[in-house]
This record gives sequence, structure tokens and C-alpha cells, in this order.
Amino acid sequence: MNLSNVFQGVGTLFYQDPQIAIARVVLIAIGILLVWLGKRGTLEPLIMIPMGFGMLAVNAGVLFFSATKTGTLFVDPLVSDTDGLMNALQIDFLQPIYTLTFSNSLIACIVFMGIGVLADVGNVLRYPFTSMLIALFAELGTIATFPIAHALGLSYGESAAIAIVGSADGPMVLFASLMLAPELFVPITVIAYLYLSLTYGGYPFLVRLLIPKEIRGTVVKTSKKNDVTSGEKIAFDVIACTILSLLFPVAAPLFFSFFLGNAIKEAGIVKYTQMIEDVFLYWATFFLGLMLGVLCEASTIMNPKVLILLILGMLALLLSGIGGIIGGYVVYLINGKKFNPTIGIAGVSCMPSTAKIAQHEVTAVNKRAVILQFAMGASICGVITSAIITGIYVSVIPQL
Amino acid sequence: MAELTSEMAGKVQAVNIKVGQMITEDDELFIIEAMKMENVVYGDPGVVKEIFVKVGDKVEEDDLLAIIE
Repeated sequence: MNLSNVFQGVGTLFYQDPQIAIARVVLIAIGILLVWLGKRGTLEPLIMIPMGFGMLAVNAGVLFFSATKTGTLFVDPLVSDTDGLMNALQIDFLQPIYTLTFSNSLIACIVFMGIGVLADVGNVLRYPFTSMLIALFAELGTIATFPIAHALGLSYGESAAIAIVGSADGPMVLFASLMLAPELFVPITVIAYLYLSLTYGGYPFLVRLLIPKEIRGTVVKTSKKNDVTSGEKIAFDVIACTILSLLFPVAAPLFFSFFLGNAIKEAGIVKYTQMIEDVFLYWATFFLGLMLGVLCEASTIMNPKVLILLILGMLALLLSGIGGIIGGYVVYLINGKKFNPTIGIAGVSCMPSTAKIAQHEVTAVNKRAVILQFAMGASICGVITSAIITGIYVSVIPQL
Repeated sequence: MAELTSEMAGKVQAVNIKVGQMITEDDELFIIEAMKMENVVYGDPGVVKEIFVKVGDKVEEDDLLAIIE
């Protein structure tokens, strides 16, 4: 009896290309690390615990399909023909989730609907100019990373997909990379989610570095009352969704999901709001993390471009953070120093995390200063501007 | 007499004062949870005259929380 045929997870290690075999061991170790960091709270546990588990299990559970072919029973993301797909659907237990929700971006849209339910566009309507200006500055990374990536040898589509990481919006990155760089969507999206977890730790340092303490505590006085009615908010949702879908049909599913979620909340449909927030959003977040982990199988993820992507993803988020803070300073100067530039970081649209970071950093200096409403306005605008830039990339790049 | 209003929409997570209590400006009067984040509400020094919310209540921005005398 051949032991490597009985314990195939180990046996395949010696059969496979040494590079792949080493990558498998490394990815198992990374998977364990992610679970540990998720448990410690260093990284976002909602994503990292399923993702780490997926990563370690898929790389451990490799078996022989035939004498010359290895594979797993998890998922086959590369299957393209109908017959192959029918086989995969019967063999790989996560194939239905992948084929029916991932490869068509449904899962990204469900997350977007959830974000729509959480968002209060009232803050955007109260401070439209401030919110929009900050959000545009905070797109620095999504714009500036594109030419840099192209100069480093990535194709237009790949460059745009990695630049979208600067939007700090996980589902947006998934949506954009599936459309623009399908062959690299796994590493790009995994990198995006890893870095997004790290920004919670990194952006506070960026804020402290770029904004002096005495400015960080600035109280923002507002004379505007919170009198935006739910009817006005729904009107905004309807108009914005229609116009943006007319302009960028390729990103219409994203606009539709976001504004529908928001309109459902504002219409006061409590049952739907609860369903989207408690069921859909958590379901999608869970499977998003799980699938991303499972897709990190050594033989699919090994790509020489991964190293460049790691650097560019970091750069994109760094530039967006700096851009947002510059935007904060611009509003600060326009308003005669009566604005808190820390709000700028919230323009990077990782809603609501960056808004929370802004409030947290301000509270640390001045516990009476409340800027969350401005930060949320900027953050929601950031989601919209990121979707617009995604729409532009997805429509323009195939024409190049 | 000062009206203490909520600066944000959210859910009241803790009410740390009682009617008649003397408070200073450093006392944490309320904790309002917004966007899964706890926000502490401070007030001006004085005596609590009336409290309008209880734990679990949903508040909107500018809703009256308490009157401090």
C-alpha cells in the first residue's frame, strides 16, 4: 500500500511542482495566521476567520483526481465550458456559491445593498459641497495608481482594478476586478480585504502624522438643522440612481443595489431593512470571506504579478488617505479654519469605518467634539464617487 | 437652564445620571451607540432637572436628552 495515496493531502505535496508545494505550505501558515489575527481583533474577524479557514483547508485538502491531475473538492474558479461547469457543480461543494453569486458579482451587490441600508444620505444632502469635495480628493489613490500601475507593466484593465483598491471598498474592488482583470481578481480582492483590515490600524497614524494635534480637536459648528425628510432622501436616491445608471450602465447593478437599500430604509419598511441588514449583509460577508480564502489555492493564485499588486494596493490606499486629508485641509481653509480636516480621512469610502476612525481621532484630542455627521456625509459621498470612477474605468478601458 | 440634545442619531446604550444629581463637565452622562460605535455625551456642569430618554431608546439628531439646571 502506498501511503502517499492514502494520505493524499501530504502525498500531493511531493508530487506537485516544488514551487506550488511550498506555496501551499506558506498559504496554510498564512491561513492559520489570519484566523489568529482575526480572533485577536487585529484584523476584521467577520472576514478573516472564514477567509483564514478557507485558505488553510483548501491548501491542505489537495487530492489526486487521476495519476497526473491534482485538485480539491472546494471550488474550481477556472472552469469555463458548460460541461466542465456541470461536473464542477456536482463535485465541488462551494461551486454553486461561486458560480451563482461570485462570478456575476451578485455577492458584491448584496453587500452594497447592505451598505445602502446602513447609510444616511441626509448628511450628504445637508453638506453636499463639503462631502463631495472631500470624497473627490479621497479618490487620489484610485486615479493616481492607474498610470503608475500601467508604467510598471500591468495591462490597462489590471491597472484600473488594482487602483480601485484605493476606494477602500471591498465589494467595489470585487466588482471592478471581475470586469477588468478576471484572471487576477482573486489576488486583487484578497489584497484589498487584507489591506482594508490594516487601514483601521494604519489610517490613525496617517491622521496623526499629517494633522497637528491642536487642529485635530477643532469643533465644527453647524447652523444647519437636521431637517432633511425621508421623502427628500428617497427623491435623492431615485434621481441619483437614474442619472448614474444612465451615465454608467456597466456599474448600474452597484448603483441600483446601494440606492434601493437606502430607499427601503428611508421608506420605513422595517421587515426588509432588518432582512437586508441582519440576513443578507451577514450572509454575503460570511461567504465573501470564505470564498476568498478558498480561492487562494496555491495553483490558482501563484502569479508573478502578485508582488507588484501587493505594493500597488498599499500605494493606492495610502494615496487615497493623503488625498482625503488634503481635501479636509481645503475645506478647512475655505471655511476660515472652522472645519476639522480630520474629517477628510472619512472621504475614503470604507463606510462606516473611516468615519469612525475620524471621530475616534478627534475624540482622543477633544472629547466634546462631535464630527461624525460630517464624516458620514463624506464617507457616503466617497461610496458614490468610487462607484462613478469604477463606472468610468469599466466603460472606458475596453475602448482603449 | 440648558437643554442637552443628541449630536447624532443612534441608540441610547447607557444613562449614567439621575434626576437631581449634580454633574461636572467631565461626567459621562449618556452613551449613544451610532454605527456600532459608542459615543459619550458630556454636558455643562449643573443639576439634572429632567431626563427624556432611557436605555434602548432610539434618538435622532437634535433630540432632547436631558435638561441641566
